[in-house]
Amino acid sequence: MNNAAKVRRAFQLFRTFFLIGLFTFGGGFSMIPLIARELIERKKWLTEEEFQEDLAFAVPIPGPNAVNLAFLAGYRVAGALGAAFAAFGCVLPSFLVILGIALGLSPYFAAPLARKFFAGAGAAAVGLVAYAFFRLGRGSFRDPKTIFLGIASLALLVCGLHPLLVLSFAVLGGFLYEWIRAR
Amino acid sequence: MSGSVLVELFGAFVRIGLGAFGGGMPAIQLLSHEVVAVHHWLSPAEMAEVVALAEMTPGPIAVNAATFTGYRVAGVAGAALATFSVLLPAFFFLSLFLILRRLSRSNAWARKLTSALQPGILALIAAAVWSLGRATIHGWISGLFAAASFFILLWGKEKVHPALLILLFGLLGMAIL
Repeated sequence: MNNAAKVRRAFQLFRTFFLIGLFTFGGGFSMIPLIARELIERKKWLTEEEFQEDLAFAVPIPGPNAVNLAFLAGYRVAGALGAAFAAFGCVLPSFLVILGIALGLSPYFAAPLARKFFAGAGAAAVGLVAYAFFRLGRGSFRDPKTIFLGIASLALLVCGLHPLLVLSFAVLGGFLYEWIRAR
Repeated sequence: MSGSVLVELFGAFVRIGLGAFGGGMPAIQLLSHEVVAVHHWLSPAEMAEVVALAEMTPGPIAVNAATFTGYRVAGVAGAALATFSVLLPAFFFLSLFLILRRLSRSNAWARKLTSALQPGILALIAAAVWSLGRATIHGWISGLFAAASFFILLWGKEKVHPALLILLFGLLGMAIL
């Protein structure tokens, strides 16, 4: 692909990811099936295998999965420029919408009716997060390594240790466990 | 607004970005730690508002929360800085990964790391349930709301969209809370 074509493709990536970002509600995870449909079936920029490969790397790299996926898929389609434009397009709608709400609606957040709305919505969000825990953990609740490291990590979190440290300890503990078992 | 606030905002959101694995939910606990417990930029109740808001608006939770908190702390500049900072570790590690991939095409490490992150991520989500729950559940009606949204997702086989669910319980809250 020559440079002019790459720039054009990068703009198309920006537009595609901006629209995906604008119309997917409820966290980055819900964006992934939409990204797959758009890039594989409609635009035919990626094959199913390429998409799955990018997704497999998007998860264990820090950062929101959808943004990571946009970056990796954008790179595949149009190099470094594609990566930058795809990621920017993916983030911009959420930035603009939240900024709009913060600018336009925050004065009303203290109103009694808004307080009641957020009291109800916040309580429902707890159920949502609890469900995410259940769904993600379902497959591994009987695995002794996960139970042990999970409970130990939770204890450290409750003690107020920085989540980043706890996450590092859990990962190191997991590798140590595998290493001891392999010997 | 002093420059040191921007520096603190930058540092806090880089640390949040560094730990933001696994689809938003674990990031809630990182946010509560940095934004609520360490820096007191938001109260626990405001943090719960941000989470509810993030679920109803487009985009990843970590990005939504960064924009909102940044705005609260230092206006539009703060919003832009926090959003940029929370994504900085991602861009750094993604670039590093693309460079290293030229040396080795093996992807065994990605699967290993994904499964190694699992216990820590589950613990972060469990802690998020606890910290959000303490901020939002006061009495049996809000407890019932939380339980109902959990069971609607469970029994409805996720056919009800989370954003719609949050909105509905918000409206219900306006009516009866």
